[in-house]
Amino acid sequence: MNGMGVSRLFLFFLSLSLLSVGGVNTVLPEMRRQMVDPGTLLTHADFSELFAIAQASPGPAVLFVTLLGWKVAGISGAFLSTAGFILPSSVLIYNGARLWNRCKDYSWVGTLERGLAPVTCGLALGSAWLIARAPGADWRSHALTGAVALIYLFTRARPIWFLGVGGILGVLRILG
Amino acid sequence: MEAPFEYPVVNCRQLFVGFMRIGLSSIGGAIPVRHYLVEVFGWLDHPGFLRIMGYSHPLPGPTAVNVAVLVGKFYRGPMGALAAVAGLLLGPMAVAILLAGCVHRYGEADWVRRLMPGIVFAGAGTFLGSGMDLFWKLGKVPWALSVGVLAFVGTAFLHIQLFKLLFFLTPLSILLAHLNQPRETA
Repeated sequence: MNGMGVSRLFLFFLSLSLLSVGGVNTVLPEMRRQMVDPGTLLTHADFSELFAIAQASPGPAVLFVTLLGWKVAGISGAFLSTAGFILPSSVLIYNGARLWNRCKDYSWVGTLERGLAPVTCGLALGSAWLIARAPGADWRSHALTGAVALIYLFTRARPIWFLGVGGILGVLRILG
Repeated sequence: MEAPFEYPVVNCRQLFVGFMRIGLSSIGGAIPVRHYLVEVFGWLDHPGFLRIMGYSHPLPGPTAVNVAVLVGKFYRGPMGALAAVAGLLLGPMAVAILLAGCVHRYGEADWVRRLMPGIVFAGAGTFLGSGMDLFWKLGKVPWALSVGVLAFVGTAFLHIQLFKLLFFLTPLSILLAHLNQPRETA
């Protein structure tokens, strides 16, 4: 995505909207691939910094999209990225809820959901993997990521506690 | 028989303000949609909430935004949906942009440069934890676990374009789901 104007940004997030089954997690690798890997818009450090800010802010995970847009094109980028990302999915659910209601007892809808589940799961794990390999990653950061994953899995404590502990470990130079 | 649920009259301003409260209260990743919609505002009864979650989760789009669209639509049609979504997002967007602006401004300070990676790697941990949870929920079903692993390898190592990955993997996965129907346990 070379020399991306605000309209390209809008269209990019628009194109991801209907792929975002399971939320922002699913499309995070694609946002990284298109906005970071060509090395034109954002650095890896920008990407993970914005991820951290989105995680630490109140509100839904879609804020990550807002911040990516903000970093690339300021306030208008923030609004247009967010609008692009939620517009198609919102139009779909606005008009599709009744259809879904009528169909949800058919067995093929269940088949569809069971078919999508492993794909969404693999993409969510892929997102986690890519973030865990942010700049500065080493054995200590991997230990933190692994420990947080296990404790979160078994306790379901609010993510903010883990972010707080991670931040403190960072400031205390325990992460190197 | 319980008395049927009486839906209150809700206008666009109330939708906007109500969802703004939901958005701004969701500190730390847990969005208290049910708590507010059912218990605080009384806009939905519990079955109604479950019905709305039933559409919001499996369809594309952030779940909280989908819930706002459906609740806004239910009470006030298109304008209601717009008011609810705007309420949900505007407050948190302002906070996030302010935070990002501060980090941009003071990002050179040593403690900020050490704070951010800590949050990133802990955040990766919570993502990994919820991904693992989804993985356990697939059960001991070889085809599902294989598709999950393929999707993971495709994104994490091969960096395949999402559209291509979904184009090949989704039909395959749905076909496998169709061929391997779960046994009835009733």
